[in-house]
Amino acid sequence: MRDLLKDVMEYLKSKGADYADARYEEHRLENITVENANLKSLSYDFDRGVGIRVLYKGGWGFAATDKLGKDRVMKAADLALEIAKESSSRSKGTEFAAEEPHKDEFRSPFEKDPFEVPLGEKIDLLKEATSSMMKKSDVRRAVGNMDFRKITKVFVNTEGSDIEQLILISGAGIVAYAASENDFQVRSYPSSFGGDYATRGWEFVEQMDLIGNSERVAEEASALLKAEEIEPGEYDIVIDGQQMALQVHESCGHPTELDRVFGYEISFAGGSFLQPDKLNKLRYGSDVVSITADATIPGGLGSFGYDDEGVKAQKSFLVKDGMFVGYLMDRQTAAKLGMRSNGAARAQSWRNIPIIRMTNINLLPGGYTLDDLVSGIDYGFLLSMNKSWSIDDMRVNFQFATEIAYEIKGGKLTGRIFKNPVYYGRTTEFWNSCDGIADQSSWHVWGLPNCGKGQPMQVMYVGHGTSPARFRNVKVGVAR
Amino acid sequence: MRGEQFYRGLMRIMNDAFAGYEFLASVSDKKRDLTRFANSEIHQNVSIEGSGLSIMLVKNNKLLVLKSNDFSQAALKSLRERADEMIGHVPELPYKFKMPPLRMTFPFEKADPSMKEVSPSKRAQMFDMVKSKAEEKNLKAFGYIANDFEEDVVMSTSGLFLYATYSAADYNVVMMNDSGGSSYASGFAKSLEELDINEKSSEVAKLASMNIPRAEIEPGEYTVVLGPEAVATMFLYFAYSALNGMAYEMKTSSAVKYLGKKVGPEFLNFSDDPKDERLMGIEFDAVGEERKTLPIIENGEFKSVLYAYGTALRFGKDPTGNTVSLENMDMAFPLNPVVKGGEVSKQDLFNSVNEGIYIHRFHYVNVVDHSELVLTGMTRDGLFLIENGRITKALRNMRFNVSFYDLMRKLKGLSKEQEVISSSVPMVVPYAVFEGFKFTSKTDH
Repeated sequence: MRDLLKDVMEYLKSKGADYADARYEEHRLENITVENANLKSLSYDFDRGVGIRVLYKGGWGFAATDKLGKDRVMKAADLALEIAKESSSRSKGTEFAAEEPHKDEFRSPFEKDPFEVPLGEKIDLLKEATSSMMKKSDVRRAVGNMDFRKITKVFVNTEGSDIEQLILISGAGIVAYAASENDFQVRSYPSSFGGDYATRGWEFVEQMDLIGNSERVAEEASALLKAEEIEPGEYDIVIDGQQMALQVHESCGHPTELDRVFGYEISFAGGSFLQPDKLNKLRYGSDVVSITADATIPGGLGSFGYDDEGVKAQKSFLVKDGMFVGYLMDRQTAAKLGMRSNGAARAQSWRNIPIIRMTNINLLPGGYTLDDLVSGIDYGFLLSMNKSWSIDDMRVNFQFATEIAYEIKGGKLTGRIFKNPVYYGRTTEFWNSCDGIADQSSWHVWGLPNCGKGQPMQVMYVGHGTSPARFRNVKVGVAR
Repeated sequence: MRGEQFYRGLMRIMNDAFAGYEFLASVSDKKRDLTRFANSEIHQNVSIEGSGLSIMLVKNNKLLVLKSNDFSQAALKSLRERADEMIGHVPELPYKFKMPPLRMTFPFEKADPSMKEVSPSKRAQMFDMVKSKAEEKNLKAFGYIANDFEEDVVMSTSGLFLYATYSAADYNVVMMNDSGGSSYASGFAKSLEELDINEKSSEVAKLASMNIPRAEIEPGEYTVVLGPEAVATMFLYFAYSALNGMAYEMKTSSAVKYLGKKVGPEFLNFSDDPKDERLMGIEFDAVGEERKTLPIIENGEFKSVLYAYGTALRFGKDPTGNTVSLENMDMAFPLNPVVKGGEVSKQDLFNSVNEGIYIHRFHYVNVVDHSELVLTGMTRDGLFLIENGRITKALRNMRFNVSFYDLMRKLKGLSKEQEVISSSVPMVVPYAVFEGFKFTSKTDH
């Protein structure tokens, strides 16, 4: 296939394309879901195809096919060129930031290939974890799932790049749903909405200790049925690392996507308040807040060797010591600012064009322990585990719900819990109220496998390195 | 497209390849072209062709699902080998699985032939029209125009063979003025020619040019008129959170409290209606069950939840024809949702509001509490003050927190006029008036 794609590049050059690239991708996926100690679903998916992108006199065209005979691939190339020609007459031109050609290979750093772990071992682990959760009588539904993906990509372009990558993804999680006559509550581990993910192997799942955490998860779901809701008001809060991942994702990751800034996502995902006039001028957060985009973290879900435009994975600052200093960029948008791409162009599969996506967007660790953060609060809450998220189309007004809130009184966790906690605010006010971030010992790169963007919609896997952080005077609870 | 005979041949090959198993397979082949524009320029323009085979294999009441987009004999042989390797590790189901019953029908040839091959210039010309309507009012245009052509097949070892072709065209359009005020529309039809993009673009241009300057309102309860896009969002979240029969049976759905109860006025009717000609009219679900007209809310009463095939078998219910995929046979969703129109005209509906707010569209809605179906989200692309039945002033966007059920109790009217909108699924919806809609916080724009 590589030779065919190289032929396609030569062909498109001969037809006048200013630039072209092609990706052949193979995706292998295995999903296991166990419910109440019974196997609910088991699936294996093999999907492969080619996507060809052409730039012609300032206009883009893209054609993708899973019909892989030489004639069909060449037909796709012709179609991509035809589409690009049609676009060029309705485009004001496209600048494209320079990038040197790369010839390289990359492989995710895994120890144990999950596809070689016996299926029975994986199913048994989830059966035991869900069985343990079902021991709690209030728990009506106990679900465990595992997802494994092996992605092979070959990328070539008309500039001479030739890159092969093997990305391995492993993810797993458990959930307990407890129900009473009038209510139901949920607790998840280690992360909600499908669990935690990484570009690592089976060892990542083993380290989660799903069975060891199952009893606690069930007990907390059950206890929430009897818990009260927080009286709405302003409180000092600590947010755990998992919820911080969502907070970073929605209020920093998305607004720093330069395609949103330039309006390319207005018709779907929205725009951004972080317009270029604010770059290096806006105080985004307090001095303790520094946020990076870093695709080089070994095992991070947003890690890779090269993005889908052939730009090498790299690390850059989005927020440094509280100042807004950078964007997530691809070659097209970076050129508009006279910059080089920082390697954030990613496509869900061969079916899709690369668009700007998060890599690993990380809130850098601070100097406190979690106990230090809690000890600085007279009365407030530790909010844990994302349950719901919403933010406006410019990424200013946000509202999050978490699964549970733990009461803090006199600098200590009291053991009392509250259900249905909600907090809300405005992005820069909120980040400027941050006065402490926990240290490296509680810092973890959380994997979010389900970030949606683009038309046609693409679902991307991204990472967020976070640790718990403290915020002052945050609005908690919404009066109904 | 491959045509019916190709899939009949594929069925014979699969019968050989998977001998010793019972199977149920869902096969599709699809082409989707999409032209996307922003700042009145085309910036993304794609054509995607792809196929998919999902095959559910059953042996000794053990079940697994394999998927591939490679239909070659070698690929099927490889899948068979994988199945043999996997099935030994699969425990038996806790209930007796049975294949969907035999159904023989004529092919459902529902695609518009003009949609089989659509040139990129066709969509580009439609973009030109949208752009010119925006430029007439000094606005910029954003959005997409897309066309689809697909064939769907469901087949099984028990003799089930269903074949259908469908075509679809859809779009959305945003127009924005220099101060960032915008408006929005979307639409769906079975062909590009039938799309209402021309007339809706005119309405978008009119509303976007009115969306300036924007005043601020305080959080609180207001009488609101919801445009069709906003109404659709509310009902789609109701469908997503409350209609799954599995969650109902497991007591983790708000339907446990509200099914069988009056949740709105007599004139509130919400159904899944594959017979509605304005929608795609999908004939069968992922397991080949016939999609039927299903009243979900009828005369204000919450009548039905949806049973996917697996859930129905497990709990002794009749499947409702809403199974979404073979991989998750507990997932059910209405693919042809229709909110019935009311008795009054859109203008009379507005006239009934002396002082209130018009909400054109919502953004990033999510469920805060599934047990009461509390939803939060933002307004977007047009929030306006209504005075004496007329839109008089543009407002800054607001966040809301409302319970779907509480909101339906406060439903005061639906417009006679319905619109076909393109969301996660196409939907038919009217305008609606509600009292006591709760805005909870402000934003900057």
